[in-house]
Amino acid sequence: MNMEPLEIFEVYSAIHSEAETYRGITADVMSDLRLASAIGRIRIEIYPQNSLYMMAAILRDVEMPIRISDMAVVDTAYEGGVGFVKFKVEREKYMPDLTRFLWNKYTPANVIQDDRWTILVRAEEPAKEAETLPNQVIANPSQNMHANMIELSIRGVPEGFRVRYHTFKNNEFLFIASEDIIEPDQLAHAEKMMENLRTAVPDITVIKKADGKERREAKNKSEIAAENGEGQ
Amino acid sequence: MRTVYEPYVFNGGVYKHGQIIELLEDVGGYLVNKMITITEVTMDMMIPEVDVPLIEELAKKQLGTLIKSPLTGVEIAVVSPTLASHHLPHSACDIAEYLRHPGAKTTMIGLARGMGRRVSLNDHFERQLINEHDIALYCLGTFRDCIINKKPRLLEGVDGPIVATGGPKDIDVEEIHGADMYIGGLGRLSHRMRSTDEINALDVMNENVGELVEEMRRELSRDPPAVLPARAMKEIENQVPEVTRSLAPSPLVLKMSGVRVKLPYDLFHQRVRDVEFDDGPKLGDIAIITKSKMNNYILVQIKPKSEVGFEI
Repeated sequence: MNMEPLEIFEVYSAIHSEAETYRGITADVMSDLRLASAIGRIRIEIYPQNSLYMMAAILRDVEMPIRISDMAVVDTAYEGGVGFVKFKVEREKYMPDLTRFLWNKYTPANVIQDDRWTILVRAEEPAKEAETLPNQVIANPSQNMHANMIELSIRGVPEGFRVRYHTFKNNEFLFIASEDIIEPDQLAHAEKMMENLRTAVPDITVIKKADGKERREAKNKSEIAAENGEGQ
Repeated sequence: MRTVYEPYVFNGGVYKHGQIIELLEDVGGYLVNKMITITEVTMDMMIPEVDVPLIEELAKKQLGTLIKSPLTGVEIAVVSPTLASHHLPHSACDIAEYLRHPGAKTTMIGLARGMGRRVSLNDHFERQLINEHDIALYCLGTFRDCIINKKPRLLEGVDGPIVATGGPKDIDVEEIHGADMYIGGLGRLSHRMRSTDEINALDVMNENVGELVEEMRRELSRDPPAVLPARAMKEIENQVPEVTRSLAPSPLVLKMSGVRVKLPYDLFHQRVRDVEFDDGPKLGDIAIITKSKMNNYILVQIKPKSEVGFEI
């Protein structure tokens, strides 16, 4: 599903101010974990009387596992009488993952970064290594996303709701937390929430409040408009 | 006639701040706490009411400020049902810090099993620890239903005045069983308090707690402690010099009717009991000295004048 970041961000609680507080908390945690652009739709329902917290979120398209060939061109080089495996980096975003992988495999002493875009690795059989290395998986964004979504849930949930249940499949993350045993009807309600979220039509006229930057920009725009209005 | 002391805080440069201390001692005041940060000095002190203008004049001459600090000499327990790491930063952190601005000493207490609704409890040890403080301030979170129906259980067994704080602004203190005061706008947050609303809520809290302390001081003045706690503190500092070498952040904590001495009870309690006043009695005769629940420190609770029969 093609979605805008946080095109739906709803928090429901019987008392409006409580929902607003939890919206703020969730927004803060999402911003901390850099999840704001990864989540497309999210709905949270809180029922304090029943000690129940439910969260349904649909993630935007998650990247596939990253192989070395996705971020660098692997070749061989011969310098100063020694053979090297040479990496010409094309996507710098995964540089830390590549460096970590190479350090683990060849030890830091054998990994030389010539410049920002070039890494040379001292190996016994550079040609053979250069053939097999491109297929090596070095990062798995979906796995990180799973961990981050769990972190978001645990940091967002009211303290004390220690009975937890979550599922994560096909970019859909469902989380329930309670103080008591989670009942089947509560689970069914959460699944219904997810179903509603899937079929919902986002209201594009609403200013998104989740991301601090967007909120600031909207506020600045309204202030500038107000100033211009006064000037005229 | 008994001298009336007023709590003040001096902020100014380190240069010649000793003159302020000398003048304070000359007029019979007490230095409660002194903190030097590079070239700035902050001093909490108790000044005899009639001599405040003298110190004010000198402070002005030294380009420092002397402002009233209504919470000096008050120890407050800031109690949170939990201080779990995954919910940091807690609003209790900002609350405790903000209460220190007007001079209070705060202790943050995270209950071991305080979280949740049905399962939240407080422990006998925790109740005893909270009761060692002058005021207990509870941070009860965001949910109206929890604050009214579930969390009052945590206030049970606490003898001193209880201030409850929480998110909703429209709760009446009568609705929270056991609380003496409720302050709204201080619910759960996942960032440090910085917006205007949040800072305003903290200001309101300081103002209300200040009024509560004023009321407590009025009540206490009807039957005051047999010796001024600030005087007892000064005598302990002079006669048990080891206290200045204690590694605790504030080795002597002034309370409304006592002092907490941050030295091991077993090694030093007799020395503290033997502290003598010029007028004759020993501290052990006019105070109850017990082992504190906080790190086995020494807790000095000065007996009231009506019990001792005299006042020094």
